Amino acid sequence: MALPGVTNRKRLVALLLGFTLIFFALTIRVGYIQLVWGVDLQKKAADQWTRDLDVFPRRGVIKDRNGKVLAQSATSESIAARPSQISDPQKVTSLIAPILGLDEQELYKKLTNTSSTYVWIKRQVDRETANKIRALNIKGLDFTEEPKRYYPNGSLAAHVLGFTMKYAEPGEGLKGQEGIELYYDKYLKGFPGKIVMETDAAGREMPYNVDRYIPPIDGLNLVLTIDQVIQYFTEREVNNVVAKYNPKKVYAIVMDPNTGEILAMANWPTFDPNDPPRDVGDFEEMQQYVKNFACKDNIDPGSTFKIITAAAALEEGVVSLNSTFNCPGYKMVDGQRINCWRAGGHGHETFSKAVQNSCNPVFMELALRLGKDKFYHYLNEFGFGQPTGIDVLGEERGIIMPKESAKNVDLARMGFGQAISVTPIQLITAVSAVINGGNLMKPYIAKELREVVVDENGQETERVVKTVTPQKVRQVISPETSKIMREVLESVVTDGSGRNAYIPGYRVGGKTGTAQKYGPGGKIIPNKNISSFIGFAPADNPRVIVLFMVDEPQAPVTFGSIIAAPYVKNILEDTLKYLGVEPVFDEETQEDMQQVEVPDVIGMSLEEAAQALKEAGLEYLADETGTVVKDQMPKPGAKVISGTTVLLYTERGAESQPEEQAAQPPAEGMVIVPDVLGKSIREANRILVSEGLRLRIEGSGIAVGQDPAPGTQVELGTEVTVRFALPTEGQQNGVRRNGE
Amino acid sequence: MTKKPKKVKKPFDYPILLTIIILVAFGTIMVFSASFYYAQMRWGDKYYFFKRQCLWAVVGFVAMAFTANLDYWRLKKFSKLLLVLSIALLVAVLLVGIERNNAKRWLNIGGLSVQPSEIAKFALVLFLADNMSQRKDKMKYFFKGIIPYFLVTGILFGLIMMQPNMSTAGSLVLLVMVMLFVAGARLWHLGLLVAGGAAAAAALIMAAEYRMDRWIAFWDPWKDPLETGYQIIQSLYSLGAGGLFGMGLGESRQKYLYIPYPETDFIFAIIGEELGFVGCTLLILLFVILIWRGLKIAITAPDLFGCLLAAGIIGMIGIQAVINIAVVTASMPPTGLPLPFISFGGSSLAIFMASIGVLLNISKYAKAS
Repeated sequence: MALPGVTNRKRLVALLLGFTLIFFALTIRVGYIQLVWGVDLQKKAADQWTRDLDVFPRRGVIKDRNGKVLAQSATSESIAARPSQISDPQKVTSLIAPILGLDEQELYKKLTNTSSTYVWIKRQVDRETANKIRALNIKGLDFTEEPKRYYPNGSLAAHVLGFTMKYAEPGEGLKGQEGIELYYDKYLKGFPGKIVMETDAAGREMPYNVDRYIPPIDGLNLVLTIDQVIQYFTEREVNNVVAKYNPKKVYAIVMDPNTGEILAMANWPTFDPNDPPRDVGDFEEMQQYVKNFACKDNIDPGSTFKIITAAAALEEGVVSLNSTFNCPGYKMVDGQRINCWRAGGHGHETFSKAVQNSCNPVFMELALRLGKDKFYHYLNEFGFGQPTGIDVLGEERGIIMPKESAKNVDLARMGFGQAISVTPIQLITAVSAVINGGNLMKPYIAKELREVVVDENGQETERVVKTVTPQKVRQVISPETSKIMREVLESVVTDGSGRNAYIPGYRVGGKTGTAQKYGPGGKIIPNKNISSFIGFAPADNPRVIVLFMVDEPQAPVTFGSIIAAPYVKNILEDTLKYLGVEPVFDEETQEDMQQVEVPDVIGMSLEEAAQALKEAGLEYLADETGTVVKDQMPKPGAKVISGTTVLLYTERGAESQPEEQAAQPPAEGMVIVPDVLGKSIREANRILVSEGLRLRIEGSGIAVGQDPAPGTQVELGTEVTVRFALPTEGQQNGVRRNGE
Repeated sequence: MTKKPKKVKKPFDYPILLTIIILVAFGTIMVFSASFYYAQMRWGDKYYFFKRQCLWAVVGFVAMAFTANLDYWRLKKFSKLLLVLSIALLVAVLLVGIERNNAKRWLNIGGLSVQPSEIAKFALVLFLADNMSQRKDKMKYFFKGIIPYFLVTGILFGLIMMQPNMSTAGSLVLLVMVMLFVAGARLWHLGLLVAGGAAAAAALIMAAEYRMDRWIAFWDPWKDPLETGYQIIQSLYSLGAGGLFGMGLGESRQKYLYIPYPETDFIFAIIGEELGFVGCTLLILLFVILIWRGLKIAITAPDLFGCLLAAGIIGMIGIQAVINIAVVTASMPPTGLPLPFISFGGSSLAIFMASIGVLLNISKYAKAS
């Protein structure tokens, strides 16, 4: 029998040493991986354990200058699927396709496409439909809350507001696509937050997962210079002119001439930003509907431009109020005959009269007297050929022929508003400078950015972050010249072509315009004109200026005095009254105007209020949102002229509030707050959304408190504040035990 | 020949017994921790692997108790028989084996799946210990002493390679080397073999695409993080996430289907994740203690057969532990060898425990050293 020898023993010791050495080396290796490299590895590992769920920020509210909401965000539900978790795609397809109105084949394809982890089934589904699907309790379907933009007034101020992209971008939220929504997107959009949850490698939630919540930062609210009421007046008149003359386009701008604040801006054709015309074609084609024409179309201004020529000529002293002219019905310029609009001419006339008559030869003469240098100097000073700087993306700058190539004939034509293109916003801005004392103001739409601050009690207040103040670009003419121009322009309305804009009791100034349209080759297209009127009031101290341009009205006579002036009159009249500018009456006119006292209709139903106002001899105008009068304008007891329009602000009638709410089934439009205590963030969100409520999240983890309390009856859409906290040690164990 | 040596019976080597009990108990817990999620997802029963591991641990303890009380020299009689039997089983597995993951490694014997290669390992140790102890004087010769053992091993190696299972086959080669080393073969002979073995291994790696991919993945796992590099990366994530003290028992995240085979080949990574560097070091220490006590038994064995048998058993355990931990720590290309006593794998556990029983029996006859 062999015995182990010395060699065997030595080698066994060597073997032991060898193994020990190798294990020691491996220990070092483990230590290096876990302790040194570990920092980096840990981070990478943690990345793969979690899935992020976007929490969209609340996009800022857009309000008018009085705080009336023009655009706001609400949430809708979207349904998505994780194909890998759908066990029976065929069955799921047949179950949900009919409810959602989807094509079965397409849906089946989506559900079986296991190469993608997450597919949208349908976005922005209404709550009832989403609940129907939810009730089916299908594994692998996901319900997420997506923001959606609402424009409560429909098409009101559509071109100003613009709209957002149809769907929220993951990780971004809603994005502005057009108008103010696009221009101020970076302030409105806010910053998204997320819910981080732990999942297994297949994306399934961990049994003990406690969501971590990183709150989004809501967007800033934006207050515009737009006044919803004046905007309404303006659009009403736009609609009226459209109904009567079926024009191709209409442009209307209402501005405060002293500050450059845009009070209203309307274009026609218009659209509803709740449902923008996305299906008309490509981007370019869509632009033809949705762009803000008033800042983006170059148009021949016609006679309204004479205001500019007149102001420049007065300022330069090449003409005075008493200067006299003779109009034979044409003017020869460098051997070329340019006609006056009136075939026989106006004969002898003063400067004022020439403006009232809108006499072309006089303005040719003025332009020639100024000379090319001076004339171009004023074009430039009044801001033509350059953007006004209004907060509209892609503003046009008008078209002015290069100074070098302008001949006297061109100068003469420009003098009365031909051979030059301007944008409506340029024109109203320049004319504002003429009448406001000579200051070219930068027009603007956004007035204030406000941050929403939530205090400890959950009360939301707004804090102003930035205020836009009126910005004077430059002094163009002297206050004296401006004063003369106001008087001249007032005489256009009292004694000249602008009579249709006359408002009893108010001093109105203005100027008509009728521009011919040129076809290819510079030929005038017959019967295609742009009729316009620019008017302001009160003429001695202008508060409001209105530009109204009607492109290709279908009418036998297309003078601006007929097609545009009456509408400007209506806008001015309503706006002045609305702004509380009291009419001043002459001895004769006062007799027709009976003063009445405005009755108190606050709290009445709309029908009662209408009756009461009718009896008092007043008109009324109500916003269409509610049934009960909340406020009125003018206030009760005010003395107004009979026939004045009283504005009524309404709200939805509040039903009587029963004491023992909880015991009763919820009233129409009301829901009972469910209990979400102990739920995860997503779970709580799902429950609240399914009841038509909104979740405001505080903290992270699982729900430990909620307000309003469970069982409370609240209105649909109410925000329920739920406090989440990470479970304490004891709770955590409990949760974990559940998991295992 | 096989006379009973004059021996005085002593008690077992209790440290080994204690080490094994700790390792098996710890392993069983870790198998549960690492596998419950996968088990729930795959089998709808989170105890699926745990129950089986418990059962095999019981079988293992019974087998260990049996072999510990069976005088080890009686095994000599079965050495050739067992070798022939394992060759037969290895052939059978190629014919009627259960195929999993593109490899036929399992035989279904009475409802239990058994890996014949595990039996073959022990059979080889027994055969070599018996044969080498009889041909002690031939060990100095390369052709007479060394080559024959390689021919025998070659048969097993070839059969296992056909499954294919390179890691187990390769560990057999290392095992022969260890036993030849202990048995007294010349070092330069062994050096020659190492060089030859390395060349052969290189050839085998290059011969099969999946082995080549693993080799590339070993050098740069992030080159293809979702395919070939996936296992290595996930294993490193696991260890890295553990840090010094680990995330706590049961707290691994990687076992949620991120890391493949968390209950078998990569259980060490899960241990690292849950118990940290401290846990890993203690586990490695247990293996070192086991090897130290085991080799001590070999040194004090009353005869060369016992000595070689003990050395072979310990060599088998040591080689496998080293390879497993080296793979998990990305210190060598990934290959699928379970961690002895810890990884899930019933037949492996039972056979290792039976071997420990043999070791314990040898320890009873230890000479005072």
